[in-house]
Amino acid sequence: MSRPPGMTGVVEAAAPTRARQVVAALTRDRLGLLGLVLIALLVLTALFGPWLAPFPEQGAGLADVARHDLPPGGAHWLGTDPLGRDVLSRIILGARPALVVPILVVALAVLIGVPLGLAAGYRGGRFDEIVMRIADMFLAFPPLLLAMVIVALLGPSLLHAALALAVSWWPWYARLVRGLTAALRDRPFVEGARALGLRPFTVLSRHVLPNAAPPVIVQASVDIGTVILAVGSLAFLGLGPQPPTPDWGLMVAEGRTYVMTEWWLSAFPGLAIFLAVLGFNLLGDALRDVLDPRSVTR
Amino acid sequence: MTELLTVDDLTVEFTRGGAAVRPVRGVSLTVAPGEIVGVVGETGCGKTLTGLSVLGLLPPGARASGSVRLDGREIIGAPPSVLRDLRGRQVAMVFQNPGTAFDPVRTIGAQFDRVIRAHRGGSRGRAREHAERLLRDVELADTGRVLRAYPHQLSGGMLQRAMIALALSCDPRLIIADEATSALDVTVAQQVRRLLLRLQSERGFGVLFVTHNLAEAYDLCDRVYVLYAGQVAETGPTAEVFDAPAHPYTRALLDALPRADRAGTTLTALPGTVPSSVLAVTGCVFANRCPRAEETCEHSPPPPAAVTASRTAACHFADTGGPA
Amino acid sequence: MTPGAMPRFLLRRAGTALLVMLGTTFVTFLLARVVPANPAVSYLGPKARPDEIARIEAQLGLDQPLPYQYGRYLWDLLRGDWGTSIGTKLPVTDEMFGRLPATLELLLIAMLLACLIGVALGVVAAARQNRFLDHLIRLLAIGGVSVPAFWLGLLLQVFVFGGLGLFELTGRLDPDLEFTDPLREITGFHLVDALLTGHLTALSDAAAHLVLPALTLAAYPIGVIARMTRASMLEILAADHIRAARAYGLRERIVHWRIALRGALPPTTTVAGLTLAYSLTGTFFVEVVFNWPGLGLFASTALLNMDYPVIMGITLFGAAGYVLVNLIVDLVQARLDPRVRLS
Repeated sequence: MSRPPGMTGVVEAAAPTRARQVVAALTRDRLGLLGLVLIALLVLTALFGPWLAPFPEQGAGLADVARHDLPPGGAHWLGTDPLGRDVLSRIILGARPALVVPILVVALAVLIGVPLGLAAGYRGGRFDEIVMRIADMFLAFPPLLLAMVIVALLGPSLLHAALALAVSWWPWYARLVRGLTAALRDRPFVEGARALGLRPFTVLSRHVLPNAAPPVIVQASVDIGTVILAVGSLAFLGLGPQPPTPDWGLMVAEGRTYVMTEWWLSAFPGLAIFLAVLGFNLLGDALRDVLDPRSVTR
Repeated sequence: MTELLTVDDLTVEFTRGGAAVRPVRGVSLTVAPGEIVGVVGETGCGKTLTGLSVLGLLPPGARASGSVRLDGREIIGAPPSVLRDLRGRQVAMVFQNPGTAFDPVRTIGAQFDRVIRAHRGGSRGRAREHAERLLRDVELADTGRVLRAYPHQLSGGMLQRAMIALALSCDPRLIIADEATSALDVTVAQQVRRLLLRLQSERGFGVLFVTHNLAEAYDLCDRVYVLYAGQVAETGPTAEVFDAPAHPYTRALLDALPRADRAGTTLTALPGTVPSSVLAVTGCVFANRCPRAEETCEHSPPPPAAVTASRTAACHFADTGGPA
Repeated sequence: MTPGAMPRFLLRRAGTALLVMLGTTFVTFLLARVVPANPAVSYLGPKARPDEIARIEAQLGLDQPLPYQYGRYLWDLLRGDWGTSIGTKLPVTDEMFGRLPATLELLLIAMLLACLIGVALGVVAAARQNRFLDHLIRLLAIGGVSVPAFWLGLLLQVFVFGGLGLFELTGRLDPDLEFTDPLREITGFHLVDALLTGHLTALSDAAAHLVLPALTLAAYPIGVIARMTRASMLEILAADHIRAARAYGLRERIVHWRIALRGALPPTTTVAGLTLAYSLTGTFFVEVVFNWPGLGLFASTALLNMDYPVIMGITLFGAAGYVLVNLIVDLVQARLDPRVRLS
């Protein structure tokens, strides 16, 4: 189908400049660059973990009692735990789930929240009312509390933690996208597309979604960091993966008993969580400067 | 006669994306005590920046050179404490948009109190009495209600009157009015102009009246400066300049204006646009749009030349009163 | 402002808050009665005997239709019957109200710290925009929102208490004090009780116990508040009325700290309120790490032990606290920004 003249969405025309703006902003903004470096480190570790880890077989939990409780140094850069497992190896092997699970959680939340938000904002009326009231009910709980309760009900495991987080996260996207859609619906290029008789699905996917995407991308990048933190928090409370999984949050919890004497057991896995979250927050902050969410609704 | 304000060869420069931009280039003007002087021109001609320079209030990143003397005191390069003393007491500003020039989260009364007591000291009660006097003077009747109100609760006309009152609170000798009526309805704008004229004749302060509205300048000002692309194109007594413009740009501006005495004639619009980079222009900046431009205009910039004893125009072919 | 605008605004917000609370009871009801395969089993714990299950099923009205069950659930909540803790065999409401002061004391002190530090950092960063100090504060702020509270708490324990020997490691008061010179409980807030009874030893001891957990809990709000203050300060410093204030000869100190900061307060208060609400769950982790005998520690134990009535009670309680905080934020907002009241 040939596109009617003057009917292109705003983003389509601006896409190359915007991409260039993002790159320029990230290289100009040193904090954003730091974020990119941290994320790159995390991704590389997640990809090549099994080859990078100095003692890969210990990650899974193989004990080496002869070398237990060694402080950082020598062959064990970050020391060993009471079972003689190499802390560095376990951190490296923990990178993959630490990165992949939050990405899946955010993807799931986006997949539920964005279509609901689009439909609610575009159709309005009763449907909008129902969806948003349901979202409000979820949003009425302090963050993370609902997820904790759901995991406790289902029984602690990484899968349940991920499901619980996705279930309590989608309303944020529904609300964000609904607001953007409602604002975009009345913009001339969307009204024009409707006036031409395009089907709602075409209008939404061609004209509304591309313009609502930047704020969602910013939010998702920040949220991956937030969910890394949330998964770690659940794991720390015991509401996540169970021993002997090499999970960062779980490692902090396991090392807690010995923290005053063997600080490295908790300090390094916690540092890994901190740096990962920091990376995504720095990136999100730098992205926000370029793709300011408010600039779209105006 | 000693001038109240003397601006001499004022240039304002910014750096934008590595390149220098000069929105004001060598402007000179004077305001005598009790005189109303208009600065007219299109948007972007540098008139607002000229006004802000007098307060030493240029936006961050702007550099001013040349000289701005208020009552003989140099403003360019003056230390902040000197500027602070001048502002409000010697020179005060009336801004274009009264809706945003007041602090939105404080009552009008609190804002009067702050300014009055910063300059005059004294008690809250004294400041309030003074504020009420000022508000009555700008013909705002219910002074108590105005002082208690937040900015968003008053109309634009009331706010602009209140702003004039605030500007007068420390008896400045010079008022800079930057498009002071442009954001108002036509009838309200007319009332505000009358008010300003009355206050000026009673109190005798000088006014630098910055506007894009020629009719307004004609109505109010003793003398006018016509600015084009950051330079003074023409200056002189208002009636003379508007009745017999010497510079082609002034003529073009007037021809683009609907006039009752020329009903039935076609309005002429000025062709072309202001050069995007005036620094690249070697000759007259107006040459590319000028109906009378010749070879010389492309190469040498015209210096301001006397047209009559009280008038100058920066044009090689300025009308000197005789028929063109 | 029209007379009566404020009460009407208040009523409308309170009405919304009530509706939201009703919604949360619906969610907890679903979680409690519909999600688990057999609520009676989850209510009693995995080791329940069949006769107990049958008794509880009848008691909970599980044989009745769901709308009836929901109505009864609401009625029980309203009567103050929130069930009995499986772990302690005491009414859930008693358990929660007994632990509330400890959590509130920690939360309020942390927020006080966060507001003072966060606003100061934000104002300084805005005044030094794009200079070294600004970059440092921005990094610090993003660090504050990125740091896991449970990890920061452990680090402070290891390095500040263990390394420097400062402050106290865990708990609210030195247990020895109980035997030598006990602190009389009046409000349950140790700092307040110590002041009221003139118990100076207890005052300094309680303060020393508070510092590390409060700092840990404050890290996130500090980051959020500093960022918000900086952003709103920058926006306001570029506004017309700031230029006008300078044009009328007001001092930079007044322009920055009185006019600009005053204008930055409404958005800053909003995020401060939101982070306070966020910190409600933050107390879970801080209380676990510092063995702080409050609601969070109680709740995290209940979560692991499947102490069902406590979990549901804490969830509703948390939601109520969250709704309440948001309501307070709205009201404070209306006091600070005259434009809000009329919209």
